[in-house]
Amino acid sequence: MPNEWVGPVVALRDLTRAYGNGEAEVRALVGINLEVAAGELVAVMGPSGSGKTTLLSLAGGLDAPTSGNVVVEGVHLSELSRRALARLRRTSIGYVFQDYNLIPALTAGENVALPLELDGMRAARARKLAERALEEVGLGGLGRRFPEEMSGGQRQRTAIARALIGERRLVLADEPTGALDSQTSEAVLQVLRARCDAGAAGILVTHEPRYAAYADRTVYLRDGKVVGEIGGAGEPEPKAAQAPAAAAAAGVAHGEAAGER
Amino acid sequence: MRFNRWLTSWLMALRVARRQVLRDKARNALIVAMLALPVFGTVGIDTLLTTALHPSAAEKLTRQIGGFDAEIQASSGGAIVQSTNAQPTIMSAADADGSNPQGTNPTPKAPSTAASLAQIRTLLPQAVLTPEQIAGSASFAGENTYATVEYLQVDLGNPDTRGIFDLVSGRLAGTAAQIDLSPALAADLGVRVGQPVTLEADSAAGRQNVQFTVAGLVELPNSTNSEQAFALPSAPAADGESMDGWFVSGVGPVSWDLVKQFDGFGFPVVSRAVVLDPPPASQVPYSNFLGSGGYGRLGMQLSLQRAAVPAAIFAIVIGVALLEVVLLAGPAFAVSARRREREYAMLGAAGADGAQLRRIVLADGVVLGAVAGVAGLGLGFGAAAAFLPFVGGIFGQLPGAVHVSVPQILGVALLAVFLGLCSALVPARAVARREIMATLAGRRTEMTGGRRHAVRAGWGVLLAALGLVSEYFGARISPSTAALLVTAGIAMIEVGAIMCTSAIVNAAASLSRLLPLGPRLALRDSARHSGRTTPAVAAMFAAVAGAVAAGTWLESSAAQQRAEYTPLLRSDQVAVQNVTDVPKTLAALKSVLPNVTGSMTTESVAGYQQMATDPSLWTVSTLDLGTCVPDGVAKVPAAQLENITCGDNFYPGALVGELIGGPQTLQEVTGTDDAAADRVLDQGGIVVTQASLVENGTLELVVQHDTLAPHAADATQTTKRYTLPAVYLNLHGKPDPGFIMSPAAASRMGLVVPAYEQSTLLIDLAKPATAAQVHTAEQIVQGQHLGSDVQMDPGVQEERSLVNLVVLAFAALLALGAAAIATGLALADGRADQQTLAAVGGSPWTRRWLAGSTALVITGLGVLIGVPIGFVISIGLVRLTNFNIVGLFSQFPTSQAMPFTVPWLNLGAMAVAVPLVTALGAMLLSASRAPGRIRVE
Repeated sequence: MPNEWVGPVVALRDLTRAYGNGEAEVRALVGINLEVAAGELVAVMGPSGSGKTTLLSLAGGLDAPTSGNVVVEGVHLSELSRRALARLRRTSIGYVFQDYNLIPALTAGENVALPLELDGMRAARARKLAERALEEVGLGGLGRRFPEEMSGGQRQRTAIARALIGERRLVLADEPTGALDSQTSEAVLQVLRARCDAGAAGILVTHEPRYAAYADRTVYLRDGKVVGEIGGAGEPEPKAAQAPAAAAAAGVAHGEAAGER
Repeated sequence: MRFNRWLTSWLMALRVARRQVLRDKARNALIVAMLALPVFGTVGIDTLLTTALHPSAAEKLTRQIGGFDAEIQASSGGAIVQSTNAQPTIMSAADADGSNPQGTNPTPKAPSTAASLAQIRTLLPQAVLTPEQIAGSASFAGENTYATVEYLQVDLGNPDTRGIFDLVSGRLAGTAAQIDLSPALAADLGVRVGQPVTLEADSAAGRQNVQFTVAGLVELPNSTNSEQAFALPSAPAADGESMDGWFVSGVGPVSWDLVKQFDGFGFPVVSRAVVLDPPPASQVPYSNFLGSGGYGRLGMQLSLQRAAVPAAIFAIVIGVALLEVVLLAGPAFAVSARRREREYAMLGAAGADGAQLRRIVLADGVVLGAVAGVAGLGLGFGAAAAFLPFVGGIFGQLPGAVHVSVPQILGVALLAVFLGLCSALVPARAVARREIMATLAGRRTEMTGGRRHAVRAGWGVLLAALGLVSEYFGARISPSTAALLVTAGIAMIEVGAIMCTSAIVNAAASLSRLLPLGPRLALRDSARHSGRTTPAVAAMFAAVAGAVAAGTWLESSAAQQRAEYTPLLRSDQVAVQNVTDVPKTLAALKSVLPNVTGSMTTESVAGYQQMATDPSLWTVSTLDLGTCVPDGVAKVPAAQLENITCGDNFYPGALVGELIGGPQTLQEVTGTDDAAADRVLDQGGIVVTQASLVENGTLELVVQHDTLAPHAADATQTTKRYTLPAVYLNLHGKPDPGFIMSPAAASRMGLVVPAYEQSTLLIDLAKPATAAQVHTAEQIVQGQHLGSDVQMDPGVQEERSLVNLVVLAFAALLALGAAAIATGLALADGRADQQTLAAVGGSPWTRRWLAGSTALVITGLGVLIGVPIGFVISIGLVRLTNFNIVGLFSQFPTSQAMPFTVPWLNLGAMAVAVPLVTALGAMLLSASRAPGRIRVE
């Protein structure tokens, strides 16, 4: 993965996102600071309404902060035009959603090839690359199926294939296992982890501490603020063990103890 | 019990629907607008036309007799029968009772003014009579122009005349030296209030011209565009004949019995009491005859048959328009139902069965239809009131008060409810079929492709095939059923095509793999949401089919008109009719027509010789009189002859009024130099322009000579047959007089060649005259009593081209509307997909590109299906017209069948431009930013 950038792939600096005005103002995120380096997978946990999806939307340039900066590979997203932002999303950022967000009118192969086609690649070549990406996630030969002809796990792996296709350096996954059984969830997370191990930066939003265990560190959010963090530099292993305590501090219900990856 | 459950279920559904109205304001407003449109149009146009064209009986009466009790019009001298309306149909009692079989009784002598007054006084001794005198053709001169118009003398100051006239500007004439003019006449004469006008008098009779001062401009509410002059009874009268009339007041109601007594004297009477409270038909002699406009039962029958084709076309147009509304509103209901599918699933989970769920969706249609009905009524009446003053001017009469018919209004308002129900029908069925658990789990339950579409398409093909059979053979079976069968056939083809639409969309989607992302996605998405796409594509193709059918029919009709057009004169000619003094006429017109290269007078056969000492009627015909066969019999297929009834437009080939002359006349009139024709004319024969009439170089003519006598028994009739040398001359595209009879032939048959007021002066010009030149020439000719009118050939009037363009523009507008609605709904329905596209890197233009592609898919498919359907419909219409009752009964002989002519340029432009413009519009007008966020925590 040729990449000249040596700093954090994504850096969220003093990020605040508010909705509404005056008394009706709701602050979804307040003063968030977070950096994710290449090869690192960061899990974000927190109760519903804590701002996890908002954080992911801001990191991916799908939404603009009220204040603060989002910097992806040294580029301030606020300085980019809508067109340039779109280009960044289709070349550098991959998104995985809880409800897959596959386009039902397109086949699995076409869904995966979508970012490449949007980037101007010829459809035939894009589909070939998509087939390869589908093989990587264990869906070889299913490229011509429409989403409704696939199981939930297959759809999510298709969504991951779409998020990983090309040279994505930032993968954002919003509860990618929310609708999957545990076995399929494990498989999906393994794909995600493998991509980060290959050099991408990843942010994984999850409710499940055992899935957070796949991450290098876990950030806890509550009421739009970071209330705790486990793992990170100097804490290579014990992060999973510390998770329950930090989760308790953040008000998250304890889940099953996370296994090691 | 069952009914109670049904009623409770409907009440609940209506309650839910009523509350839902305000929840999704934008989409509901769109639906209401679509459903309200036909109500708005119907109420607006109906109110506008009814009010503008059909004033109430009381309004008509006021326009006719003002505040008077009655108007007694001039007596014809003989007894009459009359109808009971404000403009009564009058018929001679002798004609009505059959005592004047051939119309040969001498015309009764009209009584003098004094005698008339005496007769009136015998019946109305106490009445106050306000006299009126109407001269039919009085010549007035302005500064440089002339006009021959109606000149009415009445006491304009009498307050009871209010309503007959409207003072537009200035004041009413108060002295014998003042005159009021209608605005049209003032404009034609180029005079204003305060300026002089001259009433031209016949100097040969020793009379002097009279100068008036224009006191004011006065218009008749019934006839705002007509040219008339009004003066007091004491003002000088015009030359020539005039009619007396009397307005009656001071005696109260003039009863029907009294009117019938006036019948005996021959006075038509318009009585306020009779018009406003007419007697029963049993008391009105010949009421059936008079009530049908004087044509009797046969006339009514013919009118009905003539109306069949326009009625069929009207039914098709209205049917397609209503179908459009249903098809356009249908997708909106479909999207709404999709949005609320979770709500319906929860209702299902709570125990609602399929019928109840269906009712909830249908109730949306009822409630929105009712709202649309009320809105359409309000807007329709408002628009009619706003446009009334303008429309009155267009139709040449002032509008009356706005009429409101409650049953009619309720009917029209219910139409919106009906359309709402129809629009919601398909989505309601779809909702009832959905699986509850699948919907609650967010799984897609709408079926794509597959057997359902194939089965429906199969039925559609069958129906369309039946429609084709009905359309094809319907136009051949019989005139009475042709219109019905063709209309039914067209309806079946349309519905069949709609049933095939979803299968066609699916088939197109299956071929989309090779397309670029935008069209591929749009096509697949359209196929997946057939509930939304099918009606949109159907609406589009119905509009396109309508435009193709109407455009082709109009173009074919115009082609027929061009092929059939017979010029009145050569293009480089003008004609002065009934010329009295040729040298003086040529001299008078020199200033207006400076390029005269030659001239000639022509004469025609006179049928009735008034000035002869032995009044008689000459009738020359190619067939025996009374043989009820239309002219041009050879062109009517034998099978159709059986259906021809002897009506008012069938001639026994009468030649009265035909041209008499030799080779020079032939050359002058037709611009044709034909050696054979010249030879026949020189031999004392006749030239005919209808090939079938000439047999072995001869033509047999029947000459009937009726002498006129006071009593039918004294009249004599002789019939002689003559065989003349004849030749057929093809004058297609040239002035065609029908027959050119040599003077020798006319003389041999003893035909009267009139010496006066039957001659036409043909003036040859170096270049064609303009309409303005002809108008000025006519004013001069009439002003100087040199002839009756001046004519030129107007050429083929191509107003149909404009109609064609309007139809195409309207269809294009409908198509754009259909595409805009369908695209808007598709974009609204596909928000999740657009968010996904944005998330995976779709540029701001991706959404626009998708919108454009969606519009292109809908309009493209619409054009693809609509064009052939339109051609099929137009073939039916052309066949129907060619067979038709219109051709047989009112325009006979139809010498040219309507050619099937396609307006390729217009249709090509529409087929290409509409999809492209729609796609471009959708791209430009849709927001580039994806709506909302994917999920808000």
